[in-house]
Amino acid sequence: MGWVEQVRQKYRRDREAGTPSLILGIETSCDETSAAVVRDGQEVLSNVIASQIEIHQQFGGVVPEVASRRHVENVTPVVQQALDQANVGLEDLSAVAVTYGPGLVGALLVGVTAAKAIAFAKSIPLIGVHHIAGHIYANFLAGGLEPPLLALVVSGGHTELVYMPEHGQFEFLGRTRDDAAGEAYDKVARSMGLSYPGGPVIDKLAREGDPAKMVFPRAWLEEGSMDFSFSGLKSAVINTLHNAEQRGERLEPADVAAAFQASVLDVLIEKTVLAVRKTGVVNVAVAGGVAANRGLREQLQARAKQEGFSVLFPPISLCTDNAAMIAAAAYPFYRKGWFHHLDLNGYASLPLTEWQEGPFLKLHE
Amino acid sequence: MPYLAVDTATQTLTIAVGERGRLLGEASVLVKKNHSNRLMPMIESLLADLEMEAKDLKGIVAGHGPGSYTGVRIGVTTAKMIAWALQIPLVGVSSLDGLADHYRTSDLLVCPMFDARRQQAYCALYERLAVGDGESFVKIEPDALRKLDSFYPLVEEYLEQRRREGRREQVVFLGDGAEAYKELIEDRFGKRAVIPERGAERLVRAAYLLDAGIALIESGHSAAAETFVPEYLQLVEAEAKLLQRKGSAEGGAE
Ligand SMILES: [Zn+2]
Repeated sequence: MGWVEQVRQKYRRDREAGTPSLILGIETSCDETSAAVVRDGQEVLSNVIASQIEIHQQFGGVVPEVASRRHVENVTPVVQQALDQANVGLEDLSAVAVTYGPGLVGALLVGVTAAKAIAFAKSIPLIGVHHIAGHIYANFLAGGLEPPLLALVVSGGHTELVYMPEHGQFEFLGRTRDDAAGEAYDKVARSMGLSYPGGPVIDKLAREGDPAKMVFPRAWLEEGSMDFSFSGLKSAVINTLHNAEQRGERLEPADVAAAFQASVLDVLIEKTVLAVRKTGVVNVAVAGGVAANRGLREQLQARAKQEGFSVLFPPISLCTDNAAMIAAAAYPFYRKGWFHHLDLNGYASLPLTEWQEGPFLKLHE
Repeated sequence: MPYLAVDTATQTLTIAVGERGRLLGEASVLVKKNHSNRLMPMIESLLADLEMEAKDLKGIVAGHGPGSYTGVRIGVTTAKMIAWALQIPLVGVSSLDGLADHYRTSDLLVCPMFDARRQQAYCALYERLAVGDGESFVKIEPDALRKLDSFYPLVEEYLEQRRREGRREQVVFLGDGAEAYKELIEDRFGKRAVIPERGAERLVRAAYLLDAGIALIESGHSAAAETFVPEYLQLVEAEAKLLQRKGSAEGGAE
């Protein structure tokens, strides 16, 4: 019996038995090797993350080949730990979910290859997951959230406003046209001589500074646009630092950080407000590494109160890349009986719309 | 119960299934990219043709490189995760062995080469040597990334030694390295160099790796899947630079 037929039978058996689903998630899209076991799309039984941040800090950013090599070293022990901590065996799993894009392609391929090998060896259904969908689904792990909702996804690789009318359905309202917000943080931090990653350092420093000491541009783009652009801001900060240095002036780093962060947050928050008005949703979910930013958390909450919508932030531990969110995002597809074939590949850029449409192996008539 | 061998270190995606002394099936394709989406369906379909399933496998042999970094990671990750999931033995063998073995029974010096660009190649040297009562095909220079202009004198030394010993003074160069540097090789070695014309001899074969790997597993060798990684034989450029900086910083402090 071929793999597809075995998987089909397993899926039918598992659904008929009516036992809770156990999905193993695997995430290797950037510099974190992560594996998790999630029950019924909500309950995190384990979420193991092997971070490479200390390695990449030495280089001032993620070196793709280094990341890929570490993923190969980490993937087996991390998956083993995730199973051990959840107290489940491979035989107990309902499906294996894995991030297959977007991300660093060499890094993605380690996770995709590992997931396929497990799916094949144990005849378990395979679900490729879009990384951004994963970030959005981090919010469902806290419980109590239902679509329709608006997601603001902000990280080192992404700045996106996504409308989610129902589970597994996504519509881009806006995205960055150049740098991601987190990327701008990293580059500004670097030019200020601060450590990598830049987000937490600048967020902390900004609290001690006066954002009114200098004003950086805000890229609103065309009237009504929900797209973002941070490269102009990044250049403005770098130029200001450079000019001050040439004149022999010293700018207070805390003030630079505060003014820069104010500019980023202003744009993120006002575009989110615009998207809420356009879609009429009442729930906004923030996701991605920048969701851990305290300034963003406080100011967006305050603004939401004024506007009358609610904002949800995932727990800090689920903001950065992790596999629990991947397993959670796979759950609606598991319910539908939509799976991937063993020819699943990794993609550096993968449209959300393409993911939600398949092509899937439909095991459910 | 059969073993599975996998190699994706070069453009040849190659797999084989068999037992000791008995090859049951082999599949190879020569493709520049997308080893990632092809490998697993290929394994599945070869096993299905043999009316076998993953759980019938007794052990896994992985070509651990050297070669293309992304490529070799696909084969190695596939191999180690299957071995880990099924709790069966795993061994790594040199991907260069899968090329050199074409000439296992010849009386030539054998030099498989994977092109590493900029006049460099991942390569090794092999020849038949008297071992105990008989003869055996032995790796006499280990897998390494070598600059060709410093490697050729080494090859010449071996040829010279062969001449002195009255053995055939010829070396066969194999693989995409041999093709890429064909003219250089012919200029330098003239008639002492053999570069095969036959397409069949240019590709890594998983069937050879399978034989080598089964022998290892059946003599008790097994790698731990948890720590199994490719033999890249080269640091990442950023890491090499970092080491250099650290080295010079330490030197300066003394
Ligand atoms: Zn992310």
